[in-house]
Amino acid sequence: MQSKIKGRFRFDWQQNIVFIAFAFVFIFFAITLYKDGFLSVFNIANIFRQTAIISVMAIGMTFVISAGEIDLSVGSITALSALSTALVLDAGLGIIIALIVGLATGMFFGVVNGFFVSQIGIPSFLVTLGMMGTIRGTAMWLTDTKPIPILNDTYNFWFGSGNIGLIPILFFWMILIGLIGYVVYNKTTFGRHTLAVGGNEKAAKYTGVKTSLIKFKVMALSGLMAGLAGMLYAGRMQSGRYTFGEGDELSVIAAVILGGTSLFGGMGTIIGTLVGALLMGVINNGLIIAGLDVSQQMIIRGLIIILAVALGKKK
Amino acid sequence: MSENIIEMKNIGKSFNKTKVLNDVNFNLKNGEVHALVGGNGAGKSTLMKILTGVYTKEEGKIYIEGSLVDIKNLNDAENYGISIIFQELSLVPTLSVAENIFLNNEPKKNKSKLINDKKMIEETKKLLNDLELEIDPKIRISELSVGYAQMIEIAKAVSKDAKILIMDEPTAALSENETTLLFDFIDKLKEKNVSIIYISHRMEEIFKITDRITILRNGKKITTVKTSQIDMDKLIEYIVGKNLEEKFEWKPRKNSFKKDKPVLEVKNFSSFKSNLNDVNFKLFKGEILGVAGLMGSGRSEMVETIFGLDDKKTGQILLDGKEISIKNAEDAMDKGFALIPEDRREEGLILDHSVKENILLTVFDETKSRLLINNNIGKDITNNYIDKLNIVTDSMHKKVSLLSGGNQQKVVLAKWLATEPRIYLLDEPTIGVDIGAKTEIMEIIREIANSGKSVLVISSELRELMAVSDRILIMSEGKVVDSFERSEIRSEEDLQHAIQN
Repeated sequence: MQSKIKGRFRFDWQQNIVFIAFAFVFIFFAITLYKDGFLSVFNIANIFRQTAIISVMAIGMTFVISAGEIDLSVGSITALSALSTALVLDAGLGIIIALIVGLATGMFFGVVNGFFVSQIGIPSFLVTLGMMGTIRGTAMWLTDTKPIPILNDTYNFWFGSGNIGLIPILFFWMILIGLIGYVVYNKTTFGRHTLAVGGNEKAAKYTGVKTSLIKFKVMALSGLMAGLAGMLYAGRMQSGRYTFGEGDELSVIAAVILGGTSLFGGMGTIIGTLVGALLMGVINNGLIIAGLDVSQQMIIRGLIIILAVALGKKK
Repeated sequence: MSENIIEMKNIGKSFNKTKVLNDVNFNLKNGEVHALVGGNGAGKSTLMKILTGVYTKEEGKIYIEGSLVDIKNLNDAENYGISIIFQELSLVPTLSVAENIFLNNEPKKNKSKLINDKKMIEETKKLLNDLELEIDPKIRISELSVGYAQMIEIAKAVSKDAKILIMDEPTAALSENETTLLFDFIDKLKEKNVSIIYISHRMEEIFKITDRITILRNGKKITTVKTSQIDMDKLIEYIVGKNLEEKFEWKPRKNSFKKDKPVLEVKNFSSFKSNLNDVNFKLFKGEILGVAGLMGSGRSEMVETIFGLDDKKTGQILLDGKEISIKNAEDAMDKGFALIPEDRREEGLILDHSVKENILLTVFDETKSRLLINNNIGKDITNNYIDKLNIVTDSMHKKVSLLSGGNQQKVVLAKWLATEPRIYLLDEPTIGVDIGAKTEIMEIIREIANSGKSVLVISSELRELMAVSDRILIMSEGKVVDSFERSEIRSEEDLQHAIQN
């Protein structure tokens, strides 16, 4: 009976398809769009600029989805956080206060989501679906749909518009948040318990894991990340506007799932998420350079996402 | 130190004004294996949930090593050294063996908040070595068989220095081999002075490994006895509260059946997906054909493949001598097959639906008058089966998840009886049900066969298999390796030997 039970080496398609897809798409565009400057330093920097904000939200979302939950309110939160940051700066209260207010805005709605999910027991899909509209509405109402420009150059530099040498500041944000996310996800009790809750909530509970608290925390974290993403939007656009982040929730979720995180929870990777976000960014960028109009871009992007996930299902 | 590691005194608990535990006393001695038995609904699980802090007691006191304790949740229980091995596995399938064992107890890198994966894997290796389990700590639980997953679960409890282990039907999903391994393991734990509360419906096991037995019935304690001082008849009598004569004895069949033309013949059946390899057998009208074999011998795969759930198969199925092809479950149903699957909670029932909805699932079309569903027809059908199979439920609208295991299984049977099949494929029909319900289910099987239908029944409970079958096939490594007429089998040991070889 004492046969040795060993993990057979098995290539995990679901977790690795994103790297293959990324390499494939990147090489494809590099060859076909070479003359159009796809590989130029300027364009590569541009891809990072377009991807970084989605990545920041996607890191938070990886935790949420790993715990078996979902957060549809992240796009709306970015708008409100960008606006509130812009208002604080506009009132001349300085960067520190702006920072606190921006993050607190995100955190606040994350906490509200978390409260309804973990304490009242409403499915996160419903809570965040509702909050999505409520928060966007609040953002519209706050300034009566007017955009608020940000004239603080220091803020704009550090939170989105700046470059260090050739490298956009947003790239550093993406790496910083990615690193922190990686360590928390893989090396802390919180990360491990998040996976446990998503993998088998009952088992986690019976092992003494505080499952409600974990759910609360992942929702709050996702809100916080969306708050930061909003501040980066504000810095990049040098303004706050209620339309920021519209539809981002779908890009964020797509990045996470493409990255190999199980939609049912319990399994995921942070690096996969980052590459998933980059993949989305490269696809968008490539299609724009190729001269496709918005409608064509949407069609192809949708198909690529489905195709990649379907390939990942292969046994 | 007191001799009793646990003393539960005058425990009482009600749900919705129904008294589920009434003045129950229970003692556990140091280093003993103590069986807790009783029919479904007797209060075993409730008592254990009180001991582990999942439920709060309304009356009574709990002493651990002589001092009064208040156990409010599982963490408290764990701190007192109590660990429970759940009937449904309490492991996270997506995490590795090591991650599961150290879940909520992760070793940290010196004083930081970061998990020390290396240490975790090393300690897991050490622990598994100590328990003689050669399993890779990095393998995901979802890749292990149920038997091994359970060993990991026990290892997890042991790793937390549990002094008191509660095992709830630990062998329900284990093969004979794995059960033996578990029992060796239990002996090893006893040597380490671990006390074990052992909940089981399997009498043989109880007599084999326990020191004392406490019997509960209807929320009351009947008695506690030394295992050596009671026999099975007496024990069963205590459990059911009346003398249950018919237990598991072979009864000569009322109707004899002719063995000329088989109803079903399976020829050269193989599957690429499972390990089925050239399976051949015949099934006659009115026959009950038993199938015995260890877990992994291909028993379940065989019936699932016949039922069309495996599309990568080769070989022939002959129905009344004519070759047929079964592409999927619907096809199988049309041709008069019914499959009662092994895992009733996952595969047999929609747990959140009512008794009525579950029974009618297979026959919805018949409840229609013209285009719309006629509720009265459905109610009649449901009531008919509730009566016929003696399904104990407050109402046909009760959620199936709230019924006991035995009654759940009867609902599954009803669901398939309603389709009036000719051939029944039953996969472990009595798994996890109490002894009263077992007897009833076996009687239902006999009645099905007496009405001229054919039954193929898989069971790990050899005694039951011997009680109902006219003929028994032995499966091993995906093949039918032997076949016995019932009259050829003298004892359970005979059958056991046939399976082991």
